[in-house]
Amino acid sequence: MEQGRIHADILGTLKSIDTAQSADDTLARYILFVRRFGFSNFLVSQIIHPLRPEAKKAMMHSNWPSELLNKRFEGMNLVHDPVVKYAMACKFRFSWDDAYSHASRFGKLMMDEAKEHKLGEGYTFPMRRPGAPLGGISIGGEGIDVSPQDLSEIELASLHCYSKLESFHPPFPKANRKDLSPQEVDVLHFASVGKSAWETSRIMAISEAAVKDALKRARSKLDAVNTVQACTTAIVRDLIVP
Amino acid sequence: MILIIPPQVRDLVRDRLRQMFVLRHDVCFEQWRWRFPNQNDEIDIDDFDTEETIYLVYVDTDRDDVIGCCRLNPTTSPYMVSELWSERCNLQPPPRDPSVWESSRFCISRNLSSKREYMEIMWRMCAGVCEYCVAVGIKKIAWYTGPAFYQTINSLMPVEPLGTPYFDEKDQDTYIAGTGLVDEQAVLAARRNLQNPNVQLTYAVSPLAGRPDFDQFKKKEAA
Repeated sequence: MEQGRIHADILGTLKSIDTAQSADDTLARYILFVRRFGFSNFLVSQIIHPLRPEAKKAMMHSNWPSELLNKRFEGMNLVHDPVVKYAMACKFRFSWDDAYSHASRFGKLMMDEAKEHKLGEGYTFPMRRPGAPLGGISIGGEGIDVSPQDLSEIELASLHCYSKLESFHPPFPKANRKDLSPQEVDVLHFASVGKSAWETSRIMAISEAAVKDALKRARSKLDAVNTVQACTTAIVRDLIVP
Repeated sequence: MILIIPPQVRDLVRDRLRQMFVLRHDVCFEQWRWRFPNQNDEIDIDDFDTEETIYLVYVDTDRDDVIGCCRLNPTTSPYMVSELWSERCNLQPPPRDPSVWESSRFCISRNLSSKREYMEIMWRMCAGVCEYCVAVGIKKIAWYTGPAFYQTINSLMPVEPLGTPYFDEKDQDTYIAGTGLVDEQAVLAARRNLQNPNVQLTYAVSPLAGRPDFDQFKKKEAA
Protein backbone atom coordinates (compact mmCIF):
# COMPACT_ATOMS: atom_id res chain seq x y z
CA MET A 1 0.00 0.00 0.00
CA GLU A 2 2.72 2.41 1.06
CA GLN A 3 4.83 1.52 -2.01
CA GLY A 4 1.85 2.09 -4.30
CA ARG A 5 1.24 5.53 -2.83
CA ILE A 6 4.88 6.49 -3.22
CA HIS A 7 4.87 5.27 -6.82
CA ALA A 8 1.92 7.52 -7.61
CA ASP A 9 3.63 10.40 -5.83
CA ILE A 10 6.75 10.55 -7.95
CA LEU A 11 5.31 12.75 -10.70
CA GLY A 12 3.99 15.14 -8.05
CA THR A 13 7.38 15.17 -6.37
CA LEU A 14 9.12 16.00 -9.64
CA LYS A 15 6.68 18.84 -10.30
CA SER A 16 7.26 20.10 -6.79
CA ILE A 17 11.05 20.07 -7.26
CA ASP A 18 10.80 21.69 -10.71
CA THR A 19 8.78 24.60 -9.33
CA ALA A 20 10.98 25.28 -6.29
CA GLN A 21 12.02 28.91 -5.93
CA SER A 22 15.43 28.50 -4.33
CA ALA A 23 18.16 25.95 -3.71
CA ASP A 24 17.02 25.46 -0.10
CA ASP A 25 13.44 25.02 -1.25
CA THR A 26 14.58 22.43 -3.83
CA LEU A 27 16.51 20.47 -1.25
CA ALA A 28 13.66 20.60 1.26
CA ARG A 29 11.30 19.07 -1.31
CA TYR A 30 13.85 16.46 -2.33
CA ILE A 31 14.67 15.40 1.20
CA LEU A 32 10.96 15.19 2.02
CA PHE A 33 10.68 12.55 -0.70
CA VAL A 34 13.80 10.50 0.12
CA ARG A 35 13.09 10.51 3.88
CA ARG A 36 10.23 8.12 3.22
CA PHE A 37 12.80 5.47 2.35
CA GLY A 38 14.97 6.08 5.39
CA PHE A 39 17.48 8.51 3.88
CA SER A 40 18.19 11.39 6.20
CA ASN A 41 21.43 12.90 4.88
CA PHE A 42 22.36 14.25 1.48
CA LEU A 43 25.43 15.64 -0.24
CA VAL A 44 25.07 17.33 -3.61
CA SER A 45 28.30 18.42 -5.22
CA GLN A 46 30.22 19.00 -8.39
CA ILE A 47 33.45 17.03 -8.36
CA ILE A 48 36.39 19.26 -9.15
CA HIS A 49 40.04 18.67 -8.28
CA PRO A 50 40.56 20.41 -4.93
CA LEU A 51 43.68 22.21 -6.10
CA ARG A 52 42.00 23.76 -9.15
CA PRO A 53 40.92 27.37 -8.66
CA GLU A 54 37.43 26.40 -9.93
CA ALA A 55 37.01 24.08 -6.93
CA LYS A 56 36.12 27.04 -4.72
CA LYS A 57 33.19 27.83 -7.01
CA ALA A 58 31.88 24.28 -7.21
CA MET A 59 28.26 23.67 -6.29
CA MET A 60 27.93 22.00 -2.90
CA HIS A 61 24.93 21.44 -0.66
CA SER A 62 24.85 19.11 2.30
CA ASN A 63 23.36 18.39 5.68
CA TRP A 64 26.17 16.07 6.70
CA PRO A 65 27.73 16.58 10.12
CA SER A 66 30.11 19.51 9.66
CA GLU A 67 33.05 17.64 11.21
CA LEU A 68 32.77 14.89 8.62
CA LEU A 69 32.13 17.30 5.77
CA ASN A 70 35.12 19.51 6.58
CA LYS A 71 37.36 16.50 6.74
CA ARG A 72 36.08 15.21 3.40
CA PHE A 73 36.89 18.49 1.64
CA GLU A 74 40.17 19.08 3.49
CA GLY A 75 43.39 19.01 1.47
CA MET A 76 43.42 16.22 -1.11
CA ASN A 77 40.99 13.95 0.77
CA LEU A 78 38.35 14.34 -1.92
CA VAL A 79 40.44 12.55 -4.55
CA HIS A 80 40.85 9.58 -2.19
CA ASP A 81 37.16 9.37 -1.34
CA PRO A 82 36.01 5.92 -2.54
CA VAL A 83 32.56 7.26 -3.46
CA VAL A 84 34.10 10.00 -5.61
CA LYS A 85 36.45 7.51 -7.26
CA TYR A 86 33.61 5.11 -7.96
CA ALA A 87 31.40 7.92 -9.33
CA MET A 88 34.16 8.83 -11.78
CA ALA A 89 34.36 5.27 -13.06
CA CYS A 90 30.68 4.35 -12.96
CA LYS A 91 27.92 6.10 -14.86
CA PHE A 92 25.09 4.36 -13.04
CA ARG A 93 23.74 4.72 -9.51
CA PHE A 94 25.63 2.62 -7.00
CA SER A 95 25.45 1.70 -3.35
CA TRP A 96 28.18 2.75 -0.94
CA ASP A 97 28.82 -0.95 -0.33
CA ASP A 98 29.97 -1.20 -3.98
CA ALA A 99 32.30 1.75 -3.46
CA TYR A 100 33.58 0.26 -0.18
CA SER A 101 34.42 -3.06 -1.82
CA HIS A 102 36.62 -1.24 -4.36
CA ALA A 103 38.16 1.18 -1.85
CA SER A 104 41.81 1.45 -0.86
CA ARG A 105 42.75 0.97 2.79
CA PHE A 106 42.71 4.73 3.33
CA GLY A 107 39.38 4.95 1.51
CA LYS A 108 37.88 2.29 3.74
CA LEU A 109 39.02 4.25 6.79
CA MET A 110 37.21 7.29 5.43
CA MET A 111 34.02 5.31 4.96
CA ASP A 112 34.30 3.68 8.38
CA GLU A 113 34.48 7.16 9.85
CA ALA A 114 31.24 8.06 8.05
CA LYS A 115 29.59 5.03 9.65
CA GLU A 116 30.34 6.50 13.07
CA HIS A 117 28.20 9.49 12.02
CA LYS A 118 25.26 7.23 11.17
CA LEU A 119 26.09 7.31 7.49
CA GLY A 120 26.61 3.61 7.07
CA GLU A 121 24.29 2.92 4.19
CA GLY A 122 23.66 4.99 1.13
CA TYR A 123 23.55 5.44 -2.59
CA THR A 124 25.20 7.82 -5.01
CA PHE A 125 23.71 9.04 -8.27
CA PRO A 126 26.46 10.32 -10.58
CA MET A 127 25.49 13.30 -12.74
CA ARG A 128 27.18 13.47 -16.12
CA ARG A 129 25.54 16.19 -18.17
CA PRO A 130 27.67 16.84 -21.26
CA GLY A 131 29.52 20.14 -20.99
CA ALA A 132 29.12 20.37 -17.20
CA PRO A 133 31.52 19.23 -14.49
CA LEU A 134 30.99 15.71 -13.15
CA GLY A 135 28.78 15.81 -10.10
CA GLY A 136 26.55 13.66 -8.00
CA ILE A 137 24.00 13.30 -5.25
CA SER A 138 24.79 11.01 -2.34
CA ILE A 139 22.08 10.09 0.12
CA GLY A 140 22.59 8.06 3.26
CA GLY A 141 21.16 7.04 6.55
CA GLU A 142 20.43 4.00 8.65
CA GLY A 143 17.82 1.26 8.34
CA ILE A 144 17.26 1.93 4.67
CA ASP A 145 14.73 -0.26 2.92
CA VAL A 146 14.47 0.31 -0.81
CA SER A 147 13.41 -1.83 -3.74
CA PRO A 148 14.92 -1.41 -7.23
CA GLN A 149 11.72 0.40 -8.25
CA ASP A 150 12.08 2.78 -5.29
CA LEU A 151 15.66 3.46 -6.33
CA SER A 152 14.56 4.21 -9.89
CA GLU A 153 12.10 6.77 -8.56
CA ILE A 154 14.72 8.27 -6.26
CA GLU A 155 17.06 8.45 -9.25
CA LEU A 156 14.46 10.47 -11.17
CA ALA A 157 13.97 12.80 -8.19
CA SER A 158 17.77 13.13 -7.93
CA LEU A 159 18.10 14.03 -11.63
CA HIS A 160 15.47 16.75 -11.29
CA CYS A 161 16.87 17.99 -7.99
CA TYR A 162 20.40 18.25 -9.39
CA SER A 163 19.23 20.05 -12.55
CA LYS A 164 17.21 22.50 -10.48
CA LEU A 165 20.15 23.18 -8.14
CA GLU A 166 22.41 23.73 -11.15
CA SER A 167 19.96 26.33 -12.44
CA PHE A 168 20.41 28.31 -9.19
CA HIS A 169 24.19 27.97 -9.28
CA PRO A 170 26.11 30.60 -11.26
CA PRO A 171 28.07 29.11 -14.17
CA PHE A 172 31.84 29.04 -13.87
CA PRO A 173 33.28 32.39 -14.93
CA LYS A 174 34.57 32.33 -18.48
CA ALA A 175 35.53 36.00 -18.76
CA ASN A 176 39.20 35.46 -18.03
CA ARG A 177 39.53 32.57 -20.41
CA LYS A 178 41.57 33.45 -23.46
CA ASP A 179 40.94 31.49 -26.62
CA LEU A 180 43.78 29.33 -27.85
CA SER A 181 44.86 29.78 -31.46
CA PRO A 182 44.54 26.75 -33.78
CA GLN A 183 48.33 26.34 -33.66
CA GLU A 184 48.34 26.38 -29.86
CA VAL A 185 45.59 23.75 -29.84
CA ASP A 186 47.60 21.61 -32.26
CA VAL A 187 50.82 21.71 -30.23
CA LEU A 188 48.88 20.85 -27.07
CA HIS A 189 47.28 17.91 -28.85
CA PHE A 190 50.73 16.56 -29.72
CA ALA A 191 52.15 17.33 -26.27
CA SER A 192 49.24 15.49 -24.64
CA VAL A 193 50.21 12.28 -26.44
CA GLY A 194 53.87 12.61 -25.46
CA LYS A 195 55.41 14.22 -28.54
CA SER A 196 58.49 16.36 -27.89
CA ALA A 197 58.80 19.85 -29.33
CA TRP A 198 61.17 18.50 -31.98
CA GLU A 199 58.76 15.70 -32.97
CA THR A 200 55.85 18.15 -33.10
CA SER A 201 57.91 20.48 -35.28
CA ARG A 202 58.52 17.63 -37.75
CA ILE A 203 54.84 16.64 -37.82
CA MET A 204 53.56 20.21 -38.20
CA ALA A 205 56.36 21.25 -40.57
CA ILE A 206 57.29 24.28 -38.50
CA SER A 207 60.46 25.10 -36.56
CA GLU A 208 61.10 23.72 -33.09
CA ALA A 209 61.33 27.29 -31.78
CA ALA A 210 57.82 27.98 -33.15
CA VAL A 211 56.49 24.91 -31.31
CA LYS A 212 58.10 26.05 -28.06
CA ASP A 213 56.69 29.55 -28.54
CA ALA A 214 53.21 28.15 -29.14
CA LEU A 215 53.46 25.97 -26.03
CA LYS A 216 54.63 28.96 -23.99
CA ARG A 217 51.68 31.05 -25.18
CA ALA A 218 49.28 28.17 -24.42
CA ARG A 219 50.71 27.78 -20.90
CA SER A 220 50.33 31.48 -20.28
CA LYS A 221 46.72 31.57 -21.53
CA LEU A 222 45.81 28.54 -19.43
CA ASP A 223 47.60 29.81 -16.30
CA ALA A 224 49.64 26.62 -16.28
CA VAL A 225 53.09 26.31 -14.76
CA ASN A 226 54.17 23.56 -17.16
CA THR A 227 53.02 21.72 -20.26
CA VAL A 228 51.50 18.82 -18.30
CA GLN A 229 49.21 21.21 -16.45
CA ALA A 230 48.44 23.03 -19.70
CA CYS A 231 47.35 19.75 -21.31
CA THR A 232 45.15 18.66 -18.41
CA THR A 233 43.59 22.13 -18.14
CA ALA A 234 42.90 22.11 -21.89
CA ILE A 235 41.24 18.70 -21.56
CA VAL A 236 39.16 19.78 -18.58
CA ARG A 237 38.02 22.87 -20.50
CA ASP A 238 37.20 20.80 -23.58
CA LEU A 239 39.77 22.62 -25.69
CA ILE A 240 41.53 19.46 -26.82
CA VAL A 241 40.38 15.90 -27.30
CA PRO A 242 41.08 13.79 -24.18
CA MET B 1 23.61 25.17 -41.17
CA ILE B 2 20.71 22.89 -40.30
CA LEU B 3 18.62 21.73 -43.24
CA ILE B 4 15.01 20.91 -42.54
CA ILE B 5 13.96 18.02 -44.73
CA PRO B 6 10.26 17.21 -44.71
CA PRO B 7 9.07 14.20 -46.75
CA GLN B 8 8.00 16.12 -49.85
CA VAL B 9 11.50 17.44 -50.60
CA ARG B 10 13.59 14.34 -49.95
CA ASP B 11 14.31 13.84 -53.64
CA LEU B 12 16.01 17.25 -53.76
CA VAL B 13 18.59 16.24 -51.15
CA ARG B 14 19.17 12.52 -51.69
CA ASP B 15 22.94 12.87 -51.25
CA ARG B 16 22.57 14.71 -47.96
CA LEU B 17 20.16 12.09 -46.69
CA ARG B 18 22.59 9.33 -47.58
CA GLN B 19 25.35 11.21 -45.73
CA MET B 20 23.00 11.39 -42.75
CA PHE B 21 22.28 7.66 -42.81
CA VAL B 22 26.04 7.00 -42.98
CA LEU B 23 26.59 9.33 -40.00
CA ARG B 24 23.87 7.52 -38.06
CA HIS B 25 25.50 4.18 -38.80
CA ASP B 26 28.85 5.48 -37.61
CA VAL B 27 27.45 6.91 -34.38
CA CYS B 28 24.96 4.16 -33.53
CA PHE B 29 26.95 1.09 -34.49
CA GLU B 30 30.58 2.17 -34.21
CA GLN B 31 30.43 4.66 -31.33
CA TRP B 32 27.47 3.44 -29.28
CA ARG B 33 28.02 -0.20 -30.28
CA TRP B 34 24.37 -0.97 -30.91
CA ARG B 35 23.76 -4.35 -32.42
CA PHE B 36 20.69 -5.28 -34.49
CA PRO B 37 20.11 -8.60 -36.27
CA ASN B 38 19.66 -7.11 -39.76
CA GLN B 39 21.84 -4.05 -39.54
CA ASN B 40 23.29 -2.64 -42.75
CA ASP B 41 27.08 -2.37 -43.07
CA GLU B 42 27.09 1.24 -44.27
CA ILE B 43 23.90 3.05 -43.43
CA ASP B 44 21.34 3.09 -40.62
CA ILE B 45 17.70 3.02 -41.69
CA ASP B 46 14.96 1.44 -39.61
CA ASP B 47 11.18 1.04 -39.48
CA PHE B 48 10.80 4.52 -38.04
CA ASP B 49 12.24 6.28 -41.08
CA THR B 50 8.73 6.62 -42.43
CA GLU B 51 6.82 8.61 -45.01
CA GLU B 52 6.01 11.15 -42.30
CA THR B 53 9.49 11.58 -40.83
CA ILE B 54 11.05 15.03 -40.82
CA TYR B 55 14.85 15.19 -40.70
CA LEU B 56 17.00 17.96 -39.35
CA VAL B 57 20.48 17.65 -40.78
CA TYR B 58 23.50 19.71 -39.73
CA VAL B 59 25.67 20.32 -42.79
CA ASP B 60 29.28 21.46 -42.44
CA THR B 61 29.61 23.42 -45.66
CA ASP B 62 33.43 23.55 -45.43
CA ARG B 63 33.69 19.77 -45.31
CA ASP B 64 30.60 19.27 -47.47
CA ASP B 65 29.44 16.63 -45.04
CA VAL B 66 26.70 15.96 -42.52
CA ILE B 67 27.98 16.20 -38.95
CA GLY B 68 24.72 16.14 -36.99
CA CYS B 69 21.18 14.91 -37.40
CA CYS B 70 17.87 14.29 -35.72
CA ARG B 71 14.59 12.81 -36.89
CA LEU B 72 11.11 13.80 -35.84
CA ASN B 73 8.13 11.46 -36.04
CA PRO B 74 4.50 12.28 -35.22
CA THR B 75 3.13 10.47 -32.18
CA THR B 76 -0.20 10.00 -33.97
CA SER B 77 1.49 7.19 -35.95
CA PRO B 78 3.50 4.33 -34.47
CA TYR B 79 6.75 5.70 -33.05
CA MET B 80 9.69 4.22 -31.17
CA VAL B 81 8.54 4.81 -27.60
CA SER B 82 5.00 3.58 -28.29
CA GLU B 83 6.07 0.51 -30.26
CA LEU B 84 9.34 -0.61 -28.69
CA TRP B 85 9.35 0.62 -25.11
CA SER B 86 5.75 1.18 -24.06
CA GLU B 87 6.15 -1.35 -21.22
CA ARG B 88 8.90 0.87 -19.83
CA CYS B 89 6.46 3.79 -19.60
CA ASN B 90 5.29 2.85 -16.11
CA LEU B 91 4.40 6.38 -15.01
CA GLN B 92 2.41 7.70 -17.96
CA PRO B 93 1.26 6.16 -21.24
CA PRO B 94 3.13 7.15 -24.41
CA PRO B 95 1.42 10.25 -25.82
CA ARG B 96 -0.67 10.22 -29.01
CA ASP B 97 -1.21 13.84 -29.89
CA PRO B 98 -0.69 15.85 -33.09
CA SER B 99 1.22 18.49 -31.13
CA VAL B 100 3.66 15.94 -29.67
CA TRP B 101 6.44 14.58 -31.90
CA GLU B 102 9.15 12.10 -31.10
CA SER B 103 12.80 13.06 -31.47
CA SER B 104 15.15 10.15 -32.14
CA ARG B 105 18.53 9.31 -33.71
CA PHE B 106 20.00 12.55 -32.34
CA CYS B 107 23.55 11.99 -33.57
CA ILE B 108 26.63 14.20 -33.66
CA SER B 109 29.72 13.17 -35.62
CA ARG B 110 32.58 11.80 -33.56
CA ASN B 111 35.11 13.13 -36.09
CA LEU B 112 35.12 16.72 -34.84
CA SER B 113 38.34 18.45 -33.84
CA SER B 114 37.57 18.92 -30.16
CA LYS B 115 34.96 18.29 -27.52
CA ARG B 116 34.25 22.01 -27.59
CA GLU B 117 33.29 21.79 -31.27
CA TYR B 118 31.22 18.69 -30.48
CA MET B 119 29.35 20.60 -27.78
CA GLU B 120 28.80 23.59 -30.09
CA ILE B 121 27.26 21.37 -32.78
CA MET B 122 25.18 19.54 -30.16
CA TRP B 123 23.79 22.81 -28.79
CA ARG B 124 23.16 24.10 -32.31
CA MET B 125 21.18 20.97 -33.08
CA CYS B 126 19.24 21.34 -29.81
CA ALA B 127 18.49 24.97 -30.62
CA GLY B 128 17.58 24.10 -34.20
CA VAL B 129 15.18 21.34 -33.16
CA CYS B 130 13.53 23.63 -30.59
CA GLU B 131 13.24 26.49 -33.09
CA TYR B 132 11.71 24.26 -35.70
CA CYS B 133 9.21 22.77 -33.22
CA VAL B 134 8.09 26.19 -32.00
CA ALA B 135 7.85 27.54 -35.52
CA VAL B 136 5.59 24.73 -36.78
CA GLY B 137 3.48 24.40 -33.62
CA ILE B 138 4.97 21.28 -32.04
CA LYS B 139 4.37 21.75 -28.32
CA LYS B 140 6.16 18.74 -26.86
CA ILE B 141 8.84 16.34 -27.93
CA ALA B 142 9.00 12.75 -26.71
CA TRP B 143 12.26 10.82 -26.46
CA TYR B 144 14.00 7.81 -25.00
CA THR B 145 17.46 8.56 -23.76
CA GLY B 146 20.09 8.10 -21.05
CA PRO B 147 20.23 10.06 -17.78
CA ALA B 148 23.01 12.37 -19.07
CA PHE B 149 21.02 13.58 -22.05
CA TYR B 150 17.86 13.63 -19.91
CA GLN B 151 19.63 16.25 -17.82
CA THR B 152 20.73 18.13 -20.92
CA ILE B 153 17.12 18.36 -22.06
CA ASN B 154 16.04 19.26 -18.53
CA SER B 155 18.49 22.16 -18.59
CA LEU B 156 16.60 23.56 -21.60
CA MET B 157 12.96 22.84 -20.88
CA PRO B 158 10.59 21.34 -18.29
CA VAL B 159 10.60 17.57 -18.73
CA GLU B 160 8.25 14.86 -17.54
CA PRO B 161 9.29 11.22 -17.44
CA LEU B 162 7.00 8.63 -18.95
CA GLY B 163 8.75 5.90 -17.01
CA THR B 164 11.34 5.35 -14.33
CA PRO B 165 14.98 4.78 -15.38
CA TYR B 166 15.32 1.35 -16.95
CA PHE B 167 18.58 -0.58 -16.97
CA ASP B 168 18.96 -2.40 -20.28
CA GLU B 169 21.02 -5.55 -19.72
CA LYS B 170 21.81 -5.92 -23.43
CA ASP B 171 23.16 -2.38 -23.86
CA GLN B 172 24.50 -2.19 -20.30
CA ASP B 173 23.00 1.26 -20.15
CA THR B 174 20.16 3.10 -18.42
CA TYR B 175 17.35 4.73 -20.39
CA ILE B 176 14.44 7.01 -19.57
CA ALA B 177 11.40 7.77 -21.75
CA GLY B 178 10.03 11.26 -21.36
CA THR B 179 8.55 14.35 -22.89
CA GLY B 180 9.74 17.94 -22.88
CA LEU B 181 7.77 21.14 -23.30
CA VAL B 182 9.18 23.11 -26.25
CA ASP B 183 8.59 26.83 -26.24
CA GLU B 184 10.42 30.11 -26.82
CA GLN B 185 12.15 29.76 -23.45
CA ALA B 186 13.64 26.44 -24.56
CA VAL B 187 14.94 28.07 -27.76
CA LEU B 188 16.57 30.87 -25.80
CA ALA B 189 17.99 28.44 -23.23
CA ALA B 190 19.59 26.37 -26.01
CA ARG B 191 20.89 29.46 -27.78
CA ARG B 192 22.53 30.75 -24.59
CA ASN B 193 24.91 27.78 -24.83
CA LEU B 194 26.12 28.76 -28.30
CA GLN B 195 29.34 30.65 -28.91
CA ASN B 196 27.26 33.12 -30.94
CA PRO B 197 23.70 33.04 -29.54
CA ASN B 198 22.36 35.09 -32.48
CA VAL B 199 23.56 32.88 -35.30
CA GLN B 200 20.90 31.83 -37.84
CA LEU B 201 20.64 28.08 -37.71
CA THR B 202 17.84 26.51 -39.66
CA TYR B 203 17.02 26.55 -43.34
CA ALA B 204 14.20 24.91 -45.24
CA VAL B 205 15.43 22.87 -48.18
CA SER B 206 12.86 24.28 -50.58
CA PRO B 207 10.33 27.10 -50.65
CA LEU B 208 7.78 24.32 -51.17
CA ALA B 209 8.46 23.21 -47.61
CA GLY B 210 7.75 26.66 -46.24
CA ARG B 211 10.06 28.71 -44.09
CA PRO B 212 9.20 29.03 -40.40
CA ASP B 213 9.16 32.52 -38.93
CA PHE B 214 12.52 32.51 -37.19
CA ASP B 215 12.61 36.29 -36.87
CA GLN B 216 10.16 36.04 -33.98
CA PHE B 217 12.99 34.84 -31.73
CA LYS B 218 15.21 37.79 -32.60
CA LYS B 219 12.35 40.17 -31.85
CA LYS B 220 11.69 38.49 -28.51
CA GLU B 221 15.35 38.48 -27.62
CA ALA B 222 15.71 42.14 -28.53
CA ALA B 223 12.67 42.97 -26.43
